[in-house]
Amino acid sequence: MSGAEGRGRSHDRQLLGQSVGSGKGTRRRQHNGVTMKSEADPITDDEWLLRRVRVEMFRTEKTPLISPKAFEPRVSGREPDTDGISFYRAACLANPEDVLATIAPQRWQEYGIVRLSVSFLKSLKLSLVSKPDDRVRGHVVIPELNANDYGSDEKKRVLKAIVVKLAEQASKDENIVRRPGSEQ
Amino acid sequence: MSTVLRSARGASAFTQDDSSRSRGRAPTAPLAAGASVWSRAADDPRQAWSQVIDELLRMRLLKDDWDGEGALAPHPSLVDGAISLARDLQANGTPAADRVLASPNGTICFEWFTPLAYWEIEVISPVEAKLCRVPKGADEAMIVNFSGSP
Repeated sequence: MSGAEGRGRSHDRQLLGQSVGSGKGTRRRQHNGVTMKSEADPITDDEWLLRRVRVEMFRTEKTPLISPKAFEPRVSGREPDTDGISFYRAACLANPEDVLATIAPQRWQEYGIVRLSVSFLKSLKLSLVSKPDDRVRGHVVIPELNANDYGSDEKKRVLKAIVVKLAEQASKDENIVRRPGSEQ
Repeated sequence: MSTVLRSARGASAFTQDDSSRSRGRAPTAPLAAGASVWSRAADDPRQAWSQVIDELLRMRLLKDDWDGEGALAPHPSLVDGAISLARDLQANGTPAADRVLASPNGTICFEWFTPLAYWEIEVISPVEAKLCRVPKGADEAMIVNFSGSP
Protein backbone atom coordinates (compact mmCIF):
# COMPACT_ATOMS: atom_id res chain seq x y z
CA MET A 1 0.00 0.00 0.00
CA SER A 2 1.40 3.41 -0.90
CA GLY A 3 1.57 6.29 1.51
CA ALA A 4 -1.04 8.09 -0.53
CA GLU A 5 -3.41 5.16 -0.21
CA GLY A 6 -2.86 5.02 3.51
CA ARG A 7 -3.56 8.69 3.83
CA GLY A 8 -6.59 8.19 1.62
CA ARG A 9 -8.03 5.55 3.88
CA SER A 10 -7.65 7.78 6.89
CA HIS A 11 -9.05 10.63 4.88
CA ASP A 12 -12.12 8.51 4.07
CA ARG A 13 -13.04 8.41 7.68
CA GLN A 14 -12.47 12.07 8.26
CA LEU A 15 -14.57 13.02 5.27
CA LEU A 16 -17.66 11.09 5.95
CA GLY A 17 -17.30 9.48 9.27
CA GLN A 18 -17.22 5.98 10.56
CA SER A 19 -20.29 3.95 11.03
CA VAL A 20 -21.57 3.17 14.44
CA GLY A 21 -23.14 -0.03 15.56
CA SER A 22 -22.67 -3.47 14.12
CA GLY A 23 -22.88 -2.59 10.46
CA LYS A 24 -25.99 -4.71 10.15
CA GLY A 25 -29.53 -3.60 10.16
CA THR A 26 -30.58 0.00 10.21
CA ARG A 27 -27.77 2.27 11.31
CA ARG A 28 -29.07 5.59 12.37
CA ARG A 29 -25.98 7.57 13.21
CA GLN A 30 -22.78 8.64 11.55
CA HIS A 31 -19.63 9.84 13.29
CA ASN A 32 -19.95 12.64 15.81
CA GLY A 33 -23.45 11.45 16.54
CA VAL A 34 -24.86 12.95 13.36
CA THR A 35 -28.22 11.38 12.70
CA MET A 36 -28.57 9.75 9.31
CA LYS A 37 -31.28 11.11 7.10
CA SER A 38 -34.18 9.11 5.87
CA GLU A 39 -34.48 8.64 2.13
CA ALA A 40 -37.81 10.38 2.41
CA ASP A 41 -36.19 13.53 3.76
CA PRO A 42 -35.81 16.34 1.24
CA ILE A 43 -32.40 16.58 -0.44
CA THR A 44 -30.77 19.73 0.86
CA ASP A 45 -28.05 21.89 -0.70
CA ASP A 46 -25.59 21.13 2.08
CA GLU A 47 -25.58 17.40 1.37
CA TRP A 48 -22.82 15.39 -0.30
CA LEU A 49 -23.49 12.84 -3.01
CA LEU A 50 -21.26 9.83 -3.58
CA ARG A 51 -20.43 8.07 -6.81
CA ARG A 52 -18.39 4.98 -7.53
CA VAL A 53 -15.60 5.40 -10.08
CA ARG A 54 -13.84 2.46 -11.66
CA VAL A 55 -10.09 2.19 -11.42
CA GLU A 56 -9.39 2.78 -15.10
CA MET A 57 -11.30 6.07 -14.93
CA PHE A 58 -9.78 7.20 -11.65
CA ARG A 59 -7.09 9.83 -11.44
CA THR A 60 -3.53 8.60 -11.39
CA GLU A 61 -0.15 10.08 -10.66
CA LYS A 62 0.35 10.50 -14.39
CA THR A 63 -3.14 11.78 -15.15
CA PRO A 64 -4.48 13.52 -12.06
CA LEU A 65 -7.99 13.97 -13.41
CA ILE A 66 -10.82 11.51 -13.24
CA SER A 67 -12.15 10.66 -16.67
CA PRO A 68 -15.33 12.53 -17.61
CA LYS A 69 -16.49 9.10 -18.78
CA ALA A 70 -17.06 8.29 -15.12
CA PHE A 71 -20.05 10.63 -15.19
CA GLU A 72 -21.56 9.63 -18.49
CA PRO A 73 -24.69 7.52 -18.60
CA ARG A 74 -24.46 3.96 -19.80
CA VAL A 75 -26.31 3.86 -23.08
CA SER A 76 -26.06 0.11 -23.61
CA GLY A 77 -25.16 -3.06 -21.76
CA ARG A 78 -27.17 -4.79 -19.08
CA GLU A 79 -28.36 -1.71 -17.21
CA PRO A 80 -28.50 1.45 -19.34
CA ASP A 81 -28.96 4.63 -17.32
CA THR A 82 -32.35 5.40 -18.79
CA ASP A 83 -33.40 7.39 -15.71
CA GLY A 84 -30.06 9.13 -15.29
CA ILE A 85 -26.73 8.40 -13.66
CA SER A 86 -26.67 7.26 -10.04
CA PHE A 87 -25.39 8.93 -6.91
CA TYR A 88 -25.91 8.11 -3.25
CA ARG A 89 -26.72 10.59 -0.50
CA ALA A 90 -23.92 10.45 2.05
CA ALA A 91 -26.36 11.68 4.69
CA CYS A 92 -28.39 8.48 4.29
CA LEU A 93 -25.39 6.18 4.75
CA ALA A 94 -23.53 5.13 7.84
CA ASN A 95 -20.32 4.64 5.87
CA PRO A 96 -19.42 5.96 2.40
CA GLU A 97 -18.19 2.52 1.40
CA ASP A 98 -21.75 1.27 1.69
CA VAL A 99 -22.10 2.38 -1.94
CA LEU A 100 -20.04 -0.66 -2.89
CA ALA A 101 -22.81 -2.97 -1.72
CA THR A 102 -24.09 -3.51 -5.25
CA ILE A 103 -20.65 -4.69 -6.36
CA ALA A 104 -19.27 -8.19 -5.80
CA PRO A 105 -16.81 -7.99 -2.87
CA GLN A 106 -13.95 -9.40 -4.93
CA ARG A 107 -14.30 -6.34 -7.17
CA TRP A 108 -14.33 -3.67 -4.46
CA GLN A 109 -10.66 -2.93 -5.04
CA GLU A 110 -11.51 -1.90 -8.58
CA TYR A 111 -13.56 1.05 -7.36
CA GLY A 112 -12.90 4.44 -5.88
CA ILE A 113 -15.52 6.76 -4.45
CA VAL A 114 -15.84 10.50 -5.02
CA ARG A 115 -18.19 13.08 -3.62
CA LEU A 116 -19.90 16.12 -5.09
CA SER A 117 -22.06 18.62 -3.29
CA VAL A 118 -25.72 19.08 -4.06
CA SER A 119 -25.13 22.80 -4.41
CA PHE A 120 -22.44 22.20 -7.03
CA LEU A 121 -24.75 19.97 -9.06
CA LYS A 122 -27.49 22.55 -8.82
CA SER A 123 -25.09 25.24 -10.02
CA LEU A 124 -24.81 23.20 -13.23
CA LYS A 125 -28.60 23.17 -13.47
CA LEU A 126 -28.78 19.48 -12.70
CA SER A 127 -31.63 18.05 -10.68
CA LEU A 128 -31.80 15.10 -8.32
CA VAL A 129 -34.55 12.54 -8.06
CA SER A 130 -34.75 10.00 -5.28
CA LYS A 131 -34.94 6.45 -6.61
CA PRO A 132 -34.78 4.06 -3.67
CA ASP A 133 -32.75 0.92 -4.14
CA ASP A 134 -33.15 -1.96 -1.69
CA ARG A 135 -29.42 -2.63 -1.74
CA VAL A 136 -28.08 0.81 -0.79
CA ARG A 137 -29.81 3.66 0.97
CA GLY A 138 -29.95 7.13 -0.47
CA HIS A 139 -29.95 6.27 -4.16
CA VAL A 140 -30.69 9.24 -6.41
CA VAL A 141 -30.41 9.85 -10.14
CA ILE A 142 -29.63 12.91 -12.23
CA PRO A 143 -32.34 12.75 -14.90
CA GLU A 144 -30.59 15.22 -17.23
CA LEU A 145 -27.70 12.76 -17.66
CA ASN A 146 -29.75 9.95 -19.16
CA ALA A 147 -28.94 7.37 -21.81
CA ASN A 148 -31.46 8.60 -24.34
CA ASP A 149 -30.29 12.21 -24.41
CA TYR A 150 -26.66 11.14 -24.49
CA GLY A 151 -27.31 9.35 -27.74
CA SER A 152 -28.11 12.63 -29.44
CA ASP A 153 -25.11 14.66 -30.63
CA GLU A 154 -27.09 17.86 -30.23
CA LYS A 155 -27.82 17.27 -26.55
CA LYS A 156 -24.48 15.62 -25.99
CA ARG A 157 -22.67 18.89 -26.76
CA VAL A 158 -24.09 20.43 -23.61
CA LEU A 159 -24.00 17.28 -21.51
CA LYS A 160 -20.38 16.61 -22.39
CA ALA A 161 -19.36 20.02 -21.05
CA ILE A 162 -21.21 19.18 -17.85
CA VAL A 163 -19.54 15.81 -17.29
CA VAL A 164 -16.14 17.43 -17.78
CA LYS A 165 -16.99 19.89 -15.00
CA LEU A 166 -18.17 17.05 -12.78
CA ALA A 167 -14.92 15.19 -13.38
CA GLU A 168 -12.80 18.27 -12.61
CA GLN A 169 -14.65 18.89 -9.37
CA ALA A 170 -14.56 15.25 -8.31
CA SER A 171 -10.82 15.08 -8.98
CA LYS A 172 -10.01 17.58 -6.24
CA ASP A 173 -8.22 16.05 -3.27
CA GLU A 174 -10.99 16.96 -0.87
CA ASN A 175 -13.54 15.11 -2.99
CA ILE A 176 -11.68 11.83 -3.20
CA VAL A 177 -13.37 9.68 -0.60
CA ARG A 178 -11.81 6.35 -1.47
CA ARG A 179 -9.11 5.39 -3.92
CA PRO A 180 -9.26 2.16 -5.91
CA GLY A 181 -7.21 -0.50 -4.23
CA SER A 182 -8.12 0.66 -0.75
CA GLU A 183 -9.17 -2.00 1.69
CA GLN A 184 -12.61 -1.68 3.17
CA MET B 1 -18.20 13.86 -49.35
CA SER B 2 -15.59 13.95 -46.72
CA THR B 3 -12.28 15.66 -46.25
CA VAL B 4 -9.29 13.53 -45.55
CA LEU B 5 -8.26 14.56 -42.09
CA ARG B 6 -4.72 13.52 -42.32
CA SER B 7 -2.46 11.46 -44.45
CA ALA B 8 -2.77 7.93 -43.27
CA ARG B 9 0.46 6.11 -42.95
CA GLY B 10 -1.21 3.40 -40.95
CA ALA B 11 -3.90 0.98 -41.93
CA SER B 12 -6.88 3.24 -41.47
CA ALA B 13 -7.65 6.56 -43.06
CA PHE B 14 -10.03 8.31 -40.74
CA THR B 15 -11.82 11.16 -42.42
CA GLN B 16 -13.91 13.98 -41.14
CA ASP B 17 -17.55 14.57 -42.03
CA ASP B 18 -18.08 17.73 -44.05
CA SER B 19 -20.92 18.74 -41.78
CA SER B 20 -18.54 19.60 -39.00
CA ARG B 21 -15.19 20.15 -40.69
CA SER B 22 -12.75 22.83 -39.72
CA ARG B 23 -11.85 23.87 -43.27
CA GLY B 24 -9.22 21.33 -44.07
CA ARG B 25 -7.30 21.78 -40.85
CA ALA B 26 -7.23 18.79 -38.61
CA PRO B 27 -9.21 19.66 -35.48
CA THR B 28 -6.62 17.84 -33.46
CA ALA B 29 -3.91 20.20 -34.71
CA PRO B 30 -3.75 22.18 -31.44
CA LEU B 31 -3.11 18.91 -29.68
CA ALA B 32 -0.10 18.26 -31.85
CA ALA B 33 1.12 21.79 -31.27
CA GLY B 34 1.18 21.60 -27.50
CA ALA B 35 1.93 19.16 -24.80
CA SER B 36 -0.72 17.94 -22.44
CA VAL B 37 -1.06 19.31 -18.96
CA TRP B 38 0.75 16.44 -17.36
CA SER B 39 3.25 16.50 -20.12
CA ARG B 40 5.43 13.55 -20.59
CA ALA B 41 7.88 15.85 -22.29
CA ALA B 42 10.70 13.79 -20.96
CA ASP B 43 9.08 10.63 -22.22
CA ASP B 44 9.89 9.11 -25.52
CA PRO B 45 6.74 9.68 -27.62
CA ARG B 46 7.21 6.28 -29.22
CA GLN B 47 7.27 4.68 -25.82
CA ALA B 48 4.23 6.63 -24.70
CA TRP B 49 2.24 5.57 -27.77
CA SER B 50 3.52 2.05 -27.35
CA GLN B 51 2.02 1.98 -23.87
CA VAL B 52 -1.28 3.17 -25.29
CA ILE B 53 -1.26 0.43 -27.91
CA ASP B 54 -0.35 -2.18 -25.29
CA GLU B 55 -3.38 -1.03 -23.33
CA LEU B 56 -5.53 -1.37 -26.45
CA LEU B 57 -4.26 -4.88 -27.00
CA ARG B 58 -5.29 -5.75 -23.46
CA MET B 59 -8.79 -4.55 -24.29
CA ARG B 60 -9.03 -7.31 -26.86
CA LEU B 61 -9.23 -9.72 -23.94
CA LEU B 62 -12.23 -8.09 -22.31
CA LYS B 63 -15.47 -10.03 -22.19
CA ASP B 64 -18.96 -8.69 -21.75
CA ASP B 65 -19.64 -7.75 -18.13
CA TRP B 66 -15.94 -7.03 -17.64
CA ASP B 67 -16.81 -4.55 -14.90
CA GLY B 68 -19.37 -6.72 -13.13
CA GLU B 69 -22.02 -4.12 -13.89
CA GLY B 70 -23.04 -5.34 -17.31
CA ALA B 71 -20.57 -3.39 -19.46
CA LEU B 72 -20.16 -4.40 -23.09
CA ALA B 73 -16.73 -5.47 -24.24
CA PRO B 74 -15.35 -3.69 -27.29
CA HIS B 75 -15.51 -5.91 -30.36
CA PRO B 76 -12.04 -7.06 -31.49
CA SER B 77 -12.55 -5.31 -34.82
CA LEU B 78 -13.29 -2.08 -32.98
CA VAL B 79 -10.08 -2.54 -31.00
CA ASP B 80 -8.23 -3.00 -34.29
CA GLY B 81 -9.76 0.22 -35.57
CA ALA B 82 -8.62 2.01 -32.43
CA ILE B 83 -5.09 0.66 -32.85
CA SER B 84 -5.00 1.86 -36.45
CA LEU B 85 -6.20 5.26 -35.36
CA ALA B 86 -3.56 5.39 -32.63
CA ARG B 87 -0.87 4.64 -35.20
CA ASP B 88 -2.21 7.36 -37.48
CA LEU B 89 -2.16 9.87 -34.66
CA GLN B 90 1.34 8.89 -33.69
CA ALA B 91 2.51 9.14 -37.30
CA ASN B 92 1.08 12.64 -37.47
CA GLY B 93 2.90 13.83 -34.40
CA THR B 94 -0.02 13.90 -32.01
CA PRO B 95 1.11 13.51 -28.39
CA ALA B 96 0.24 10.16 -26.88
CA ALA B 97 -3.15 10.09 -25.21
CA ASP B 98 -3.09 10.77 -21.49
CA ARG B 99 -5.49 7.90 -21.01
CA VAL B 100 -7.14 5.24 -23.13
CA LEU B 101 -10.02 3.25 -21.76
CA ALA B 102 -12.83 0.93 -22.67
CA SER B 103 -16.21 2.47 -21.94
CA PRO B 104 -19.11 0.46 -20.51
CA ASN B 105 -20.83 0.96 -23.86
CA GLY B 106 -18.37 -1.15 -25.83
CA THR B 107 -16.49 1.82 -27.25
CA ILE B 108 -12.88 2.91 -26.77
CA CYS B 109 -11.86 6.42 -25.73
CA PHE B 110 -8.60 8.31 -26.04
CA GLU B 111 -8.32 11.30 -23.72
CA TRP B 112 -6.02 14.32 -23.62
CA PHE B 113 -6.02 17.00 -20.93
CA THR B 114 -4.41 20.21 -22.17
CA PRO B 115 -4.23 23.61 -20.44
CA LEU B 116 -6.95 24.89 -22.74
CA ALA B 117 -9.28 21.99 -23.24
CA TYR B 118 -10.29 18.42 -22.69
CA TRP B 119 -10.02 16.34 -25.85
CA GLU B 120 -11.49 12.95 -26.48
CA ILE B 121 -11.70 10.61 -29.42
CA GLU B 122 -14.27 7.86 -28.97
CA VAL B 123 -14.01 4.96 -31.39
CA ILE B 124 -17.58 3.76 -31.85
CA SER B 125 -17.08 1.19 -34.62
CA PRO B 126 -14.11 -0.21 -36.54
CA VAL B 127 -14.39 2.71 -38.97
CA GLU B 128 -16.17 5.44 -37.02
CA ALA B 129 -15.05 7.80 -34.30
CA LYS B 130 -16.15 11.00 -32.61
CA LEU B 131 -13.78 13.79 -31.70
CA CYS B 132 -14.90 15.91 -28.79
CA ARG B 133 -13.26 19.08 -27.50
CA VAL B 134 -14.41 20.91 -24.40
CA PRO B 135 -12.56 24.20 -23.83
CA LYS B 136 -11.90 25.09 -20.19
CA GLY B 137 -15.05 26.38 -18.58
CA ALA B 138 -17.11 26.01 -21.76
CA ASP B 139 -20.80 25.25 -21.60
CA GLU B 140 -20.78 23.37 -24.85
CA ALA B 141 -18.51 20.85 -26.52
CA MET B 142 -17.44 20.62 -30.12
CA ILE B 143 -18.19 17.17 -31.53
CA VAL B 144 -16.90 16.01 -34.89
CA ASN B 145 -17.77 12.68 -36.48
CA PHE B 146 -15.16 10.74 -38.38
CA SER B 147 -15.35 7.79 -40.68
CA GLY B 148 -12.55 5.73 -42.09
CA SER B 149 -11.73 2.82 -44.31
CA PRO B 150 -11.14 -0.52 -42.68
